[in-house]
Amino acid sequence: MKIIIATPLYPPDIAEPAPYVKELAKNLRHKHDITVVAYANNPEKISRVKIVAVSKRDWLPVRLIKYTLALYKASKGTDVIYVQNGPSVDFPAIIVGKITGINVIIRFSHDKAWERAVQLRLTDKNQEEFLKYSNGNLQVRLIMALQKFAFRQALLITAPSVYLTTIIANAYKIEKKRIIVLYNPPEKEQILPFTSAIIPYQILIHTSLIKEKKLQEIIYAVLLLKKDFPSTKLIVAGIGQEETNLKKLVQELDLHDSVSFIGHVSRAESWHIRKSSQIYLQNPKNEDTPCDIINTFVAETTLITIKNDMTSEAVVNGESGILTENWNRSELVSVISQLFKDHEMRKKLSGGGQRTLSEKFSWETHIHNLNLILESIKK
Amino acid sequence: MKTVDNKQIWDEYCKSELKVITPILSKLGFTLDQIQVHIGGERYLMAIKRDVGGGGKKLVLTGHRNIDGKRVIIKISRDIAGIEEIKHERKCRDVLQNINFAYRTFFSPEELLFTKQKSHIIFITTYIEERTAFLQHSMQDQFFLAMRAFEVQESVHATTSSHTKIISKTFGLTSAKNYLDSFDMFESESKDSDPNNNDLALTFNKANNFLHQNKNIIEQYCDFLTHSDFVPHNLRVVDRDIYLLDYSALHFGNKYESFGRFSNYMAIYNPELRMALFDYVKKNRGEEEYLSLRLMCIYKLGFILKFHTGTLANTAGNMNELSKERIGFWIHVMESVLDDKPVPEELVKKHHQALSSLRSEEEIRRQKELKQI
Repeated sequence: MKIIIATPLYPPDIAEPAPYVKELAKNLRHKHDITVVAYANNPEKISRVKIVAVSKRDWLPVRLIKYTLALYKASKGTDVIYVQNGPSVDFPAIIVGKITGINVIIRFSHDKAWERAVQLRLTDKNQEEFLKYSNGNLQVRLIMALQKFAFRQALLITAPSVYLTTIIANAYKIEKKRIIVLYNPPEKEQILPFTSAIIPYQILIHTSLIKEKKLQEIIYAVLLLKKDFPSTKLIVAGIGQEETNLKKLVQELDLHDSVSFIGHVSRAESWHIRKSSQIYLQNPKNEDTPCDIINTFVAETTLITIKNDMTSEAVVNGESGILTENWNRSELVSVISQLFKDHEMRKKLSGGGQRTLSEKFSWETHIHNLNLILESIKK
Repeated sequence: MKTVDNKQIWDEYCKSELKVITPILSKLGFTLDQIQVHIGGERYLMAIKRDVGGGGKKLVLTGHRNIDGKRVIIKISRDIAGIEEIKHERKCRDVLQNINFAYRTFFSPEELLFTKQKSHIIFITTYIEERTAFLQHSMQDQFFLAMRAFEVQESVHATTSSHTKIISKTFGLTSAKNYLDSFDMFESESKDSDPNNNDLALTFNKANNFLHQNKNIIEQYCDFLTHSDFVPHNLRVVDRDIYLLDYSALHFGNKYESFGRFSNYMAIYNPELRMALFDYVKKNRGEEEYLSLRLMCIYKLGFILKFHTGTLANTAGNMNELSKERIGFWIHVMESVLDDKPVPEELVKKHHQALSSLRSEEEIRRQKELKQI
C-alpha cells in the first residue's frame, strides 16, 4: 500500500508524536511505500522513506495552505493518509481526502485542545476531566471545534485505549464504531552508562503534585510501613501546587529521611528510578496513564494502581500488577507489605507485565494491528 | 602588552571602580565582601571575551544586603557594552520565563534591584548558596543533573514564525552558516596568534573540513535554546533545582552547543562524566545526534583555542607557559573528538599537574572558591 503519514511534529523535534512517527515509518517501510509529510525545517532522514517537509516559519494561514498543497502533491496513488492528530494536519488531510477520495485515518494520542490548555496554564484537569467539562480561551475552543470537524469527516479514528474511545465519542459526538482501539507501543528503553540495581523497599510515584491525587495517603502509608519495614523509602517525582504541603507533612511526620521529592526528572533518570524501585505506585489520574503503565512493564517494576476502566484494560489483577479498590493509606499499606514480603509474587507480576507488553503493547503487535486496520479499508 | 601590564590594567580598573561603586552601593543598602572572588586570578584574561551575549567590561561582585544580611550578586558597569550586556541578561531572564512554548525553564535567582545610578547600571540578585557544588555530587547525580538541564533547553524549540518573532529580538538565532563562519574566524585568528604551531594548523584544518562536510547535521539541530557557556560555575544546584546564573549566554542555535561546552569542560574536571554523556547520546539518541554533539564539541574547542592563542602575545613567564600548555591540551582534545576516541588519561593527568604548578596562588584560590578544584 502507499501510505502518507501526516504529522505536525517530526525529529529533530522531541515532543510526541515525532519519535513515534519516525519509528512507525521505519517499521512500515518494509511492507509499504511510505511518505511522511511533516512540518519541519530540517527533518531527520530515513532510508526508503520519502520525507516532505513544510517549513513552520511562515505565517499560520500560509503554512496551512503550503501543507495542504504538499499533502495533495504527495497523495498521487496513495491508499490512505494516516494523520497524527493535530489541527494543523487534521484539517489539510480532510481537505485532501475530500478532493482525492483518499481515506483518512486519524490517530488520537492526546487531545490537542487539552494539551494547549495545559500549556497555557488554563487547566490543571487531566485529559478525561477536561473533555468532560472543557473550558478554555478562544484558541482552545477553536482547536476543539477543528478537532470535532476533522474527527467527524475522517473514515476512522484510532484511540490508545477502550476507555478513551468512550471519552472521545462523548466529547466529540462521534459514533463509537468509527473509533478503533490501537494500543500505543512502548517508549524506547534508556541505555544508561551505569546499572540500575533494584533498591529493596523503594517505592516510586511519578505524577503531578496536585490536591486531587491525594498523595498525602501515600506519605501516611510510608509512616505505617516503616514499623515493619524500617528501610522503606518513597521517591516522589514530579512537580505541582501541592508540593509545599506535602513537604510540610513529611516534616511533621519526621519522614525526611524516608521521603524524597526529586521534582522534574530527565528521561534517563525517570527510567533509572523506575527500574531501580521495587514498587511503582501508578496514579490513574495521571496525564498519560496507559504510557505510565507500559513504561512500568518495560522496566519490570511491580505495579500498583487503582482499579478503573482505564487501568483494567492494561493490568490484570494479580497477574501483571495489583489493582486496589481505593487509594487510602490502610489499603496501600496492606498491599505494599504483602509485596515487600513476597518475592515470588513480585516476580510473577513482572513476568505478567512482560507478557502483556508482548501481547498488547509491543511494536510488533502495534504494526500488526495497524496493518489489519489499513487492509480493512483498502479500496 | 604582557601579563603584568594587562593584569595591572585590570586591577587598576577594578580598584577605581570599587572606589566609586562602594559608596553608591552603601546608599542603596548593600555592602561588598572583602574578598571579591569573581574579579581576581585569571579573570582579567576573560574580560570582554565572550562569543555570545555581549562583550563589555563589567564587574561581578559579591556582597550582602544590610537590612537582613542576605547574600547577593552584584553586576555593575558603566562601560557602554557592559551596560548593554547587563540589560540584555535581564531581558533574557524575563522573556524566557514568559515564553509560552517553553514547557519547562530554569530557576533564576530573585532580582532584588535594577537601577541606574549616575553612569552605572546596577543589577542585584540573590546569591544562591550551594550546599554541594556540582562537581562534588556523585557521578550518577552529575549525569542526571546534566541531562535534566539539557532536556530543559531542548524542550524550548523555536520553529514557527510566531516563536521566531518572540525570540529573535531577544536571544538571536544562530544557523549552521553562522557557526561555520565563526569557526573560520577562530581558525584564522588562532593561526595568526600562534603562527609556528603546525599541530594547531593541521588540527584546525581537519576540524574545519569536518564541520563544513557536516553542515546539514549542524543545521538539522538548530533553533533550540542553547547556552554558550554551560559549565558548573554558571549554575547552582540547590536540592534538585537548577539555577542558571548567566542568562546573557542563552541563544537559539544547535542544541548540542551547550552540551559541547559542558563536555569539553568535563574533559579536565570529570572525564568519566564526559564519556558517560557521549555514550548516552550515542546509544539513545542515534548517530546523527551523536555526530551533532561531536561537531559542537569541536566548534567550542575552536573558541577555546582562539582564546588561549590570543593570550600568548599578552602573557609572560608562567602565564605564557600555561597558555602554551592549554593550547597543546586542547589540540589533543580536538583530535580525540575528530577521531571519536577518549582523551588519554595520562594527558589529563599531565595537564592537571601543569595547571597546579603554573597557576598563580590567586587563581588557585579563585578556583577553590568556585569549587572547581
